[in-house]
Amino acid sequence: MGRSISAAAPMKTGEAAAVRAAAWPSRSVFGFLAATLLATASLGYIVELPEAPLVKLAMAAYVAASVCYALGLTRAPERWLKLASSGALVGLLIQTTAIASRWAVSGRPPFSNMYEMLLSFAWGVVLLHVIFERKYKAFYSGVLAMPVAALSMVLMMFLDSTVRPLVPALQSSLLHVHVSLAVISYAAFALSFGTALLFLMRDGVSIEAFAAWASALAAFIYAAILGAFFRGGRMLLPAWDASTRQKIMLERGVPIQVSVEGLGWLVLAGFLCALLPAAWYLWSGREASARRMSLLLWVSLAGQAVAVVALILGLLGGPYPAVQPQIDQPLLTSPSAVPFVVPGALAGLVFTGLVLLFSARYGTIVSRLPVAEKLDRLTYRIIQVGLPLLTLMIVTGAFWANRAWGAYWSWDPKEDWALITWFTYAAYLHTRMLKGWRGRRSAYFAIIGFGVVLFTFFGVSYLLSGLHSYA
Amino acid sequence: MTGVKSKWLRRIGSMKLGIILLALIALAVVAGTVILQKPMADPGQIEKVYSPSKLKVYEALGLLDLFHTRWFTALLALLMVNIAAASIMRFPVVWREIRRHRPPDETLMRAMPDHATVPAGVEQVADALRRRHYGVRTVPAADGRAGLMADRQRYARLAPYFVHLSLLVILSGGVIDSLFGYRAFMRLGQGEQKSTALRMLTDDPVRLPFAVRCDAAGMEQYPDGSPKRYWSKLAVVEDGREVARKEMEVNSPLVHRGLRFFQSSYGRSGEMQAARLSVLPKSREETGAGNSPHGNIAAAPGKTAAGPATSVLVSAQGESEIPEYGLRVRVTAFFPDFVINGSEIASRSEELNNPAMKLAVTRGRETIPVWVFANYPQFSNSQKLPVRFEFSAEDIELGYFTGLQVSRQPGQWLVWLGSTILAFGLIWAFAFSHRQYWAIELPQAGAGASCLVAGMATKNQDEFHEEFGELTESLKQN
Repeated sequence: MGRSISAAAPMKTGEAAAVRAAAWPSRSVFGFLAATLLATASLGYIVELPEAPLVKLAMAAYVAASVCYALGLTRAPERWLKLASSGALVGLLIQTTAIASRWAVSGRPPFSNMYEMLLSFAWGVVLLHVIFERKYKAFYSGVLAMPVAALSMVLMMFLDSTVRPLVPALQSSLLHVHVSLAVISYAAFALSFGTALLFLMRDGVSIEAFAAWASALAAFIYAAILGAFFRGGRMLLPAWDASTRQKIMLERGVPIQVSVEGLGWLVLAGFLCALLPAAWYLWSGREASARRMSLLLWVSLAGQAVAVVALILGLLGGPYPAVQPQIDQPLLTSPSAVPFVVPGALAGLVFTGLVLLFSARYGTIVSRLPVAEKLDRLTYRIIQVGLPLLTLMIVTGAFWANRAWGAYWSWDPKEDWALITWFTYAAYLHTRMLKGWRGRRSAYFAIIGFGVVLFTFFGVSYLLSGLHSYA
Repeated sequence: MTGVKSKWLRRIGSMKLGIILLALIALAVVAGTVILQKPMADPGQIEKVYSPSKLKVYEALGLLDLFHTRWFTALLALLMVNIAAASIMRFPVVWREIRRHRPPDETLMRAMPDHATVPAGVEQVADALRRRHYGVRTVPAADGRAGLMADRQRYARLAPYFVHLSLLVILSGGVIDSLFGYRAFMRLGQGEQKSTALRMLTDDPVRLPFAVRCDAAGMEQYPDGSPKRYWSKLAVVEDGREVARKEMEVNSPLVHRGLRFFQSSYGRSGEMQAARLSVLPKSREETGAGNSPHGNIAAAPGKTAAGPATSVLVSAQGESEIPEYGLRVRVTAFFPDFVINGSEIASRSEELNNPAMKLAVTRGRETIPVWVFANYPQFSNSQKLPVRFEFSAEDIELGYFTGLQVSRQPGQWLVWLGSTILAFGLIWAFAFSHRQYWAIELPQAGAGASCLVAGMATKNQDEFHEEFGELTESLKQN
């Protein structure tokens, strides 16, 4: 059926281990979740549960689960996968409790700003993964789903988590319908991104190519950071008022900037190190030797680690002199002033680390994955679930906009990007159903699709302005 | 259908063209989110952000209001034509497939990925399939051997057509709205009634088939000062009669005869709603002629009183009485920020910086005009009156205006109809597939009957494969 799919026989040992790992722990995930939700929601009215530590705990569980899934793929599968699977479930329960307690405090589901959206998104990703793992005996979906969830939780740490009352435009029951659909469809696309990547691994894409892609992604993230803040060795960062947890503004839309000397060079060094594997891969004509690549990955990892530490210390340090001459008082900055910087840099680090971890025993890992064709069809199946949800999200959004803004479609940037996302996945389905695209081309499509989803989710909110100013 | 026609149809309805159009539209949409758009930008923002030369280029290409340019509309129209042509082109093929009941064919069956030989007769296979809710037809094979064909969800093959049809319905709703609909803005002060609105962007007046009156408007705040609720009490007036009433708020528009009114903005209007004036009796000397205005400052109010100091509540409409002095007061003009421009009296802003009001005071048969300034009480005098009036900015209750967005979208019902079909169509298309089975009797090799069973599904082959396995397994155990 598939043209570019290598005909590899399923490896019995890996699959059997996976089945065993997936069959554990207990079956009633849903019942347990619902019970936790109900119990905490009712408990929330009696005892106020602390949300912040619960979120941190869940984050820790997801990080641990990510590590265990990665180790499960590289080392003795049964033990690590069991741990990973239960780590994901425990994290999910803790996060459910956190959501329920926030819900009890605010009196509404967490859907009204970026922090709450991410809280729901990470929850959705893990929930879908847990269901998926059980339904399709697909332990491997956790390899990428859990890092995505963990990184979302890390990003949340830098966002304003205050429970705020709803502005008039958001006071509608359609908020819950619209946003929960958005969150679930985004989570589904995140999962399809994971299976598409695993497909590429199974289909024989070399670890060197993955290393190059991970390095290009990390370099891109650093380039974005440098482009936004690098000015001749210095980093110009927005000043931060710790008491109000807000940027200090010069005028509307123009924050006061502080100058952090030297930090720019370290970040630039991080960028160059991150770029090394990709550059080498291109230069050596794609026949990069494994040993050289592994060395370059270590350099990349070390350089990025230094840059991340420097960024965190730089953002936490200070006070720094303001760039504006009329302000002679040194001011602080904060990771929260530029919420995407540290998580973005961490994402680069995580992907480089994963590639490095996999590169050691790439053959074994690949053989533990199911047949390429199965992964290909799973990606397709998940997108078949995600697209109707995305459609419903857009339709309910249009219906709500018609009540709140006076028109069902205003060409607002968020609407536009949701439409582009829809187009992308519609094109994915058409090329598949009518042109018979399978395998790699389809997988690349699914990966690009998730990139578009990420831009719709974050990019629009932070880079473009419009009606969807809340999240 | 003639050859030439079908060739054109194939070209217009080709998927290549469809994907190219999707990509072009997506590109245009990206440009529309990166370049500031007039309907979204703040006034003056575009001129501030782009250089004049850049602005000229953008303006020429229509990039500053991209979504309402002809070429963007043309792209959408082309996409509609493409979808329609593709549907027309493919429909007959699928319809034929739906109507056809293919008899079992051993060669074809053996070529299907899912086929198996089971130790059972055709009748047993038929029973097993019926138990799984398949529609079974016993059809002999071409060579006369007993056989059957069975299927489920035959009409799932139509789902993609519903999806594409729904897109056409939605887009046609959008076209109707862009041709016959409008969005306009209307600012109503408290008590004001209007039957015209201004179109967004162009500010052309639009006449509404009825008038709207705002009886009251207001906002509520959360303890932290952020807005909680905006509301306006609106009345619809037709031919001088009030025909509808609604307390409208954000997320709850007023709908009347196809027009929808939305709470869009709210603020202080600078018009006086009511004010409390202090009425201070003058001393006998003051009442006399020839007093310089400055003399009033020294005269402590109420000290050498000819009557009690009192106050009067005046409103924008109607007269108020001051029975103590037999006076009636009416406000004839109010300026929140009084200024004299040459010979003209005007208000510099809508803020209460220098409030002034002109009163018409009636005493007996005589009506005396008098200016009252909050900041300059010494100027607030008329020699003909036994009293002076004073007020301060805090004594004034300003009117509020409510900003209403008026939108007429006659095509929106098509959009909702299309969206509903789209949602169900997609679920139908992805969740269901046309599943077919065939069975054919095999020549007797040993004891008992045996059958070749084969099947296929239009979608979700994995699940079909599982079902096929279960079915053949159950037949083998019999």
